[in-house]
Amino acid sequence: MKYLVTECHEGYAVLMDEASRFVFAANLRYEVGQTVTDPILMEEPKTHITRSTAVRITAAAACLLLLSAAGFRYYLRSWRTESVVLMNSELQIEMQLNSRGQVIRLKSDTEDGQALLKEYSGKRKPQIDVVNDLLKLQKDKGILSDGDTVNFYITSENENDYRIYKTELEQAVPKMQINVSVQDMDSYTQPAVTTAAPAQTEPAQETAPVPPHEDHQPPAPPSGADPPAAPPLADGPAEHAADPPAPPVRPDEPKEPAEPPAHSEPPAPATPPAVSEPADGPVPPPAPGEHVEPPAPADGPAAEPPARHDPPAPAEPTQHPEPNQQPVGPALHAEAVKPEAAPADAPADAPHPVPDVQPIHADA
Amino acid sequence: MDSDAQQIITRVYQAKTDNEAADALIADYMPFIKSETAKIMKQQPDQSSDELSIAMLAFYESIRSYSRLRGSFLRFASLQIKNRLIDYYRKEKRNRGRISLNAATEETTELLDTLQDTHDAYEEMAVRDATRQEIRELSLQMEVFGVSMSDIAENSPKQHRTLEICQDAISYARSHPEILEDFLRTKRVPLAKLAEGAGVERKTLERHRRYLVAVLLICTNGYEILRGHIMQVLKRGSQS
Repeated sequence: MKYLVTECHEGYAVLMDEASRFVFAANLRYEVGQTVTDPILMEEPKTHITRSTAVRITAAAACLLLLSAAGFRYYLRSWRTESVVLMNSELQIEMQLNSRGQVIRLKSDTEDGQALLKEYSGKRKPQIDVVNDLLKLQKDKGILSDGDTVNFYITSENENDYRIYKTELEQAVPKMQINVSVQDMDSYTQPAVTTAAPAQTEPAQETAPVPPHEDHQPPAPPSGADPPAAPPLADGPAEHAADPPAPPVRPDEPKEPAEPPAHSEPPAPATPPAVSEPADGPVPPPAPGEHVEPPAPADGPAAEPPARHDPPAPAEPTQHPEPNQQPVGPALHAEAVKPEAAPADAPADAPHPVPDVQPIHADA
Repeated sequence: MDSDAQQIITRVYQAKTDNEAADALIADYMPFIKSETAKIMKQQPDQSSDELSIAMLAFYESIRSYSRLRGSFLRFASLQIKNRLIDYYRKEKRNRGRISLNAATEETTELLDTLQDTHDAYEEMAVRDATRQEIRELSLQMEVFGVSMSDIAENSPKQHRTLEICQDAISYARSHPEILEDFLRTKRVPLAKLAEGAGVERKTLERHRRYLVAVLLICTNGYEILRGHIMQVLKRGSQS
């Protein structure tokens, strides 16, 4: 490349090359109009990074770092599972929650649960909203009914979150007419859906109940009220399942008179007429002054007071009346209430009036 | 001290845009330049030595590239001079083993003198004088347009693509003499016509307006030698 010297200065020269470029070069004793071939060209000023640029770059890097940290923190808060709530209904639905209590994942190990989750997303919703939605869906599909109980199991890295979720469930779920039980995940053993109907209990003979104690005095029932449920016979068929310790009122059973008859008969026992057979058999109402003998064993269901509603059956009882809970019956009552001496003017062989007590064998 | 440093910086910034101020600054700091050169050469530089010329060029480069963020100007210039001379010596080192035509064979004669000269020195001198005259006239005409050779060197396109764009515009102007006539008459570069005619971006032509002034003037009558120097480029531009 040839260069034409167009201008000379003290410290430099201006050259024009064959490509019509004009360049600065060292003035190696050039003369204007001279043609040179190997000049020392001046280097163009390099664009150095100014301090302001360095500050900008540093600021940009800092912003990028902050954004990365914020993004990571957002990820931890929004997408990391911190708590798990297991809805232990028939569908066994598990909800994974982030640190803000939002559902980030729903899953179920049951086919029905998976089918339900296909219709419902619930992601990024608060857990209580998702629970309400799922319960509503299950009720709509008939999987749950009013009065059913659903157990929830919670596990959380944060104890405060556990308490919050527990409180939310205990407050919100009952509003849907669903009974709720919230426990720690550690206590989770098996799925259970309980209904309102009580489970049947096993008859006493299967669990070897303690026979009624003769010295046991049953509590005096309220006047007119029926006695509490009596223990089943040890040897006889199960008359009834273990009755819940529910109110003893049996509306179908005749009420006991509050007052004894006016005659000279010994005062009728205030105990209710309902009698269950003691272990030794039904006991007829004792006559005043008469020696009370243990009644003969009942024939069967007839031995039972007629009004008693005894469900059939021989299931394993989850509970049964206290073995020492004695039926209030004439026999015991006879013991508790000693027959008074016959009135002096009464003939010895005169029949003693029978107190108005429901006999055991009333329907025999 | 601070006032001296501030004064130097002021003069440097002034010399960035004013060629005469740059020349004055170089002349004033010639002892500094010689001193820095001597440090590298390990001897006092001769006025006509290449090293001194290179050092002066480095000083001028420092003026053009200096900013206050770089600190002291003299320290910056000293570094530039040192780097330049080191590069020069490295380049010279590659040529070591080759005999210079200017090497003396005897006391007064050089090797170049012993070679048969096929060139006509008188003719060459005549051509140089004619070239110098054209350049002088060109400079005078460029002053009318408000540009100098230094301005053109600063404004000259550095990238090849930009250079091609400018050459396309110049080629279009050469093929349309009425444009050159308008240019001479109005003393203005018809950027719009050139951009439209050559099919190039007007912004690029605007950025290199002063360069276009010089080259368009060369394309007008009276500058045959200069035109002949860049004819290869002009021919290529006309063919594209």
